[in-house]
Amino acid sequence: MSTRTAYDTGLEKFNRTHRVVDVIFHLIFIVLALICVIPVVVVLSISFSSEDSIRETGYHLLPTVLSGDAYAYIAKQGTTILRALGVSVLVTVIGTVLGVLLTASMGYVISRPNYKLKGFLTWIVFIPMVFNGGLVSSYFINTNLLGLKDSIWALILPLAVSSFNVIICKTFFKSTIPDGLIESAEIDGASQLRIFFSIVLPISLPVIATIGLFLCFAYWNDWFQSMLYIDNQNLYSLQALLNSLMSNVDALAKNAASMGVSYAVLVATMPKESARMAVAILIVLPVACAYPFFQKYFISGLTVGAVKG
Amino acid sequence: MMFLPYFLSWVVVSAVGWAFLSFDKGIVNQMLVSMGSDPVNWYMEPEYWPFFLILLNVWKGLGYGMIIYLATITSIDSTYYEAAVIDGASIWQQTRFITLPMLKLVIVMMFILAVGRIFYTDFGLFYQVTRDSNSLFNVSTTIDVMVYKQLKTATVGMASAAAFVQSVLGCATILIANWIVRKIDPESAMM
Repeated sequence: MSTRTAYDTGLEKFNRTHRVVDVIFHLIFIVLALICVIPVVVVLSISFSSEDSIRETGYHLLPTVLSGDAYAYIAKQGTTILRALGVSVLVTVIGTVLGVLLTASMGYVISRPNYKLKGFLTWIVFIPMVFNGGLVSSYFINTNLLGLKDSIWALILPLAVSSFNVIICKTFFKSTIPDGLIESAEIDGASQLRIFFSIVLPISLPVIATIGLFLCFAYWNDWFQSMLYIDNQNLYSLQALLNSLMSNVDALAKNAASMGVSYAVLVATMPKESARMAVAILIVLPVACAYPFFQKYFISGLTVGAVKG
Repeated sequence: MMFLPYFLSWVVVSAVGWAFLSFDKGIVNQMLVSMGSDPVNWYMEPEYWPFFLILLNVWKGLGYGMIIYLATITSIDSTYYEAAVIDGASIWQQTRFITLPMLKLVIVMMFILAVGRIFYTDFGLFYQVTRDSNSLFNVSTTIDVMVYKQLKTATVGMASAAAFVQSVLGCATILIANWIVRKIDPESAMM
């Protein structure tokens, strides 16, 4: 405790809490962090447990009998999971790119002071934040009017642009991009598109990254759109697959014939409980791995949103 | 680490819930049995669920809320604290007289937004996590769940009426909350 004396002599002593209070605070935060992490650890451990041990003794915090059966099964079972993974990745990538493009361009347009309809359009964007038609109307517009039922676009379009993100963009453009910059580009003869892509977007990288991240996680974690619009199992995303596995784990065995065994045998031998949790881990893993790298953007993004509201 | 639940989708949370609450294999029931009491069939007992649902919602939103406040706190000018220390304020006095007042705007805004969502529920929480169990009908059927179920069973008129009522009520609560805030403290109202 060599720093102790330095603390006592300096003004820092005003900033010290009592030792007991310190310990209590640390305990509270350790407990909170554990509560947040343990459930995921449980799922991980179940996915690594052998099917027999689960059947006999149930789920445990740590696997009683270690086994990679579930993952081996998933790897062997290939097509169903791979297709779901493909759908998830495709939707996430296309959705994020499209969403960022649309959101940023819309935000940019209503942030320009010399655009005549900006007041009107801002209201149009703002109203759905507090008052919207709800689930039924969007369902009918998407299925009947746009014919999105059972199409991959049903997973992409409904989430692409949200009022909240547009407002964040607009606030950002308005507060950080000087009018002079755009005027000078206009004088130099740049077209509107050119200004947007080569001047506005590059200097707005922080907000673009944040919104991209939000969208990325939203698409990856989305299961509701699949549940509403997708009946065709070939278009299931990972989330939708897990969703159907929760109620009926046998679904994983549906292409048994392609593996050269009968359906009944496959259902009887597959590691049901652990396979279900293994799919859950497949979903969580990319998010958990990617998050630390993006944390900075995420926090700054939340602040941008929080300041404006 | 506390941000982790925020990134889990409700489908995953539902799987997590199942791992804990499943009747024959769940961890909670194993603990109950090992302590000598009878296992509980959680998915059939409505009286526990209001508690579970609140707990899960707080658990999932914890990281998000924390980061918002954290970001606001870090943006507070540190000279306030330096001045306070020179004046001899303890850490508690600094919290009370600098941090909390600076946070007021954000707290009020979060409050208004939360109030505005009173009539909305997280569909995933109430539909997925309860596994659509019929025994839990009385505690898990919120407006969102009802609208979804009716949409799926094609009583569309009812569904759209319910959704409309929800929108109107949600809008009204935001306006009322904002109005009350403005009465108490005009500076922190949103609109």
